[in-house]
Amino acid sequence: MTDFMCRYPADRDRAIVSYLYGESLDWDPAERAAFEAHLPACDFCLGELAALEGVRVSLRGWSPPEPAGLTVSQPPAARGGPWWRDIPDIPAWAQVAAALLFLGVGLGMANLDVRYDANGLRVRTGWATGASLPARPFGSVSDVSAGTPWRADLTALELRLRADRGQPAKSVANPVSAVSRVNPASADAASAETLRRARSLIEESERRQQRELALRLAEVMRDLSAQRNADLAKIDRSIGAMQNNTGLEMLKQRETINNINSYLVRTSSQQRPQ
Amino acid sequence: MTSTDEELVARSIGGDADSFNQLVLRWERPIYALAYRTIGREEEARDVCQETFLRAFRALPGFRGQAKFSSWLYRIAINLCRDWVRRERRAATVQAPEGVDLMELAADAGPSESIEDLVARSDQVRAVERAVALLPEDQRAAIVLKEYHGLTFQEIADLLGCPLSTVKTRLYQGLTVLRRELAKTAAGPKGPALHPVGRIARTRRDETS
Repeated sequence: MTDFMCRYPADRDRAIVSYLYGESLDWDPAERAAFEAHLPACDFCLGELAALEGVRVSLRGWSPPEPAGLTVSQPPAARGGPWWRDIPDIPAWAQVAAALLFLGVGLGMANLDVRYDANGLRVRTGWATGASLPARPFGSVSDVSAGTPWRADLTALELRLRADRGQPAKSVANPVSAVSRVNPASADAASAETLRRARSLIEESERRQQRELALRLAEVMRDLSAQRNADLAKIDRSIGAMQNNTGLEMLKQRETINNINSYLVRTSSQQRPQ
Repeated sequence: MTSTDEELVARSIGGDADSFNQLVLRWERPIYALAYRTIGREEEARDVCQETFLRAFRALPGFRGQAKFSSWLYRIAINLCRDWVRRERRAATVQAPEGVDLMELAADAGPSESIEDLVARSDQVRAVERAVALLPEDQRAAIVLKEYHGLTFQEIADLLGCPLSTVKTRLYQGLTVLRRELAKTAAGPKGPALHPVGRIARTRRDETS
């Protein structure tokens, strides 16, 4: 059909496309010159170029809809670090509270009971009663030889007491024999004094630990309170910003409704005479 | 200073996840637009976009810079769109709304646009969507890559794996189909008046007879 309407000798369709897009890198200069010479004399080519340019103008008005939540999340393989980094933002005070709650519940469930008194060391877990676990007498040979975990502490205590009493530590290589020598069957006044010192040291240690625990708890509570206040202030600011946005949205909506109203009024007034 | 694609790719290959995220932020919108215009469905276009970047990330260690990073992404996206079209065994569809939502239209209005202009613009856009959806897959891909992504004929030929002359032919045929389809609608192509090819042909025939 184009043969008798357009006399361009070469490949006309491709020439039209090259000319339309102005891309001449791959277009043979001689061929281009020939097409440009042909163009002014060919109404058909001129018309088609104009029409295709019109199509291109129409195409420009087509935009894809705004995608919701487009951003692709980081590929899984690129994620580094532990799994808990993926947990969404939780305020620090809530994390601390959760940790304390977990600790408390854990201890409560385990019903942990630690006693270290004149009757010896007792560590009890679960719901077992004290009667089912008889306390071992402090310093008994059977305790030491059984390999109790506080044997090293006891050895250190013995050395300290000996130093207090001005007695040289003969040997620490065998704590079992050393402790056995400290506790002869016939306990005298010295051993009673030793026992008293041991108790006082333990009580002092317990008091120190309680003070440290109270200090730590106070610090945690202070941090928790500060973080909570900061989070509340942040929430307040967010709410304020949301209220502002809502106000703007309402204004925009009102403007939109006014536009629509005026459009409808114009449309109805145009239709009324008919 | 903004890093180039090549620099970001090099850092990504070295294990810098942030660099890859920057590439994603830079290219996700063009890739989504390409997918939407090719397959015509918003949700699927989003899926294609995400899958494109996931595949790119997995294949990144093998990327040697033999092509531009964007061309490489386009190729992945186009292959995914082709797979989608073949899987669905149908032409691209366009989600044209049943009626005109005046509220939505008015919200998109520019400061100087009247509602009449908006309605006309909306009709025009829907006509274009429908016309593009009618194009064969190869013609549609060529037109989308040329019109909306500004690729050269040679780049399109490389992406689609066909000779450069074929690209031009597809563009010409696609534009001609669009011209015909848009002429059927009241909206019609904008810009210079649609040339009355039939009338000219008739006139010339009359002159010769």
